[in-house]
Amino acid sequence: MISEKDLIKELQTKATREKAFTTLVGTYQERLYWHIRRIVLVHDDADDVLQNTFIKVYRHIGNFKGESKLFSWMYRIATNEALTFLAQRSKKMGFSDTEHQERMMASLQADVYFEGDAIQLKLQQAIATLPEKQKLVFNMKYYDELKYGEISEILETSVGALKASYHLAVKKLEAFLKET
Amino acid sequence: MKQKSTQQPFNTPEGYFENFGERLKGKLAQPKSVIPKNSGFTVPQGYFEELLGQLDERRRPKAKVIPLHPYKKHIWIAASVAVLVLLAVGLGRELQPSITFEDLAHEDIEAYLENNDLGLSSYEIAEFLPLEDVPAHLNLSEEQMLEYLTNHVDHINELNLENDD
Repeated sequence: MISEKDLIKELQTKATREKAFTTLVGTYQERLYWHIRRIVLVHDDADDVLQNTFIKVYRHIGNFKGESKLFSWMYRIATNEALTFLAQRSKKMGFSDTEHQERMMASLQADVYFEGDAIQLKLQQAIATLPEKQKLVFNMKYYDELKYGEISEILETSVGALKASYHLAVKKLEAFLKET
Repeated sequence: MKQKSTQQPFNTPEGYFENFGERLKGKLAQPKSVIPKNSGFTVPQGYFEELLGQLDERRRPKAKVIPLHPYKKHIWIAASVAVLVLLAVGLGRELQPSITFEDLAHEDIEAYLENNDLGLSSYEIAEFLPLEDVPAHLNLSEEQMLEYLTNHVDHINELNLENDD
């Protein structure tokens, strides 16, 4: 398997760029998709955001200086794209935060690519009530199984603050699921 | 001196140390979370296999469209320039004070009338003269009239007198 350093070099070289991009998409598409999907919830939206993320990576790879890992850089782009997508749609529709959450839940229930039972739906409702940072940290730790160090690099937050956010999120979610 | 007993007065339940390790492991094991690990999301069949093709489609440079009317894109520029020129000229005119009839010196008017053939007869000019300024009765003596006529009238016809004498 090609090393990250070599992959970056190939992506930044015109002659090898196309082949390297194919490798890049194949390597990261699923991880980025699930990260995005947990933020935007609906498959069609996740597909749009994922494609925008890869297009952005392709266009800006020349400016990537290697100050962080390629994986962290792509995760950061994906997170920004997903959050911007939601904010733009909410603004366009003129919804408040509560209305927006309700609409997202309704869209999720209508999504043919959500096969969750009552508990899983309730979990998504509970996650939707969390502050943005706690939501991101919870999904990245609990589902994506990223290490605190990796999340810290992606979200540019200290490990201590991330641990506190995660534990707080877990407590809130468990309480929500137990009481209902 | 009384000797200290090596025998401890404490006892343990039977088999306590035999299953201590097992019980400790049970205590250390994380309690099962109520949060489900499976979030219930799925993707369409073959989605990840087709993603690269869709990305290629989006990255492919679009064919250059040759406009049917290439001048059209310049129309707006031309129109904008024309509007700016008109505004500048209009504003320039607004800023200049307009000349009125009163601004003309009497000498200039007289010089113009003398040097230009207006094609107007004395009667036509007389029609434009304000009558208010003309005294109703001219107190001219006969001598004054004769002197004026002698000096200013070359031909008797110019007097336009209605007599057949």
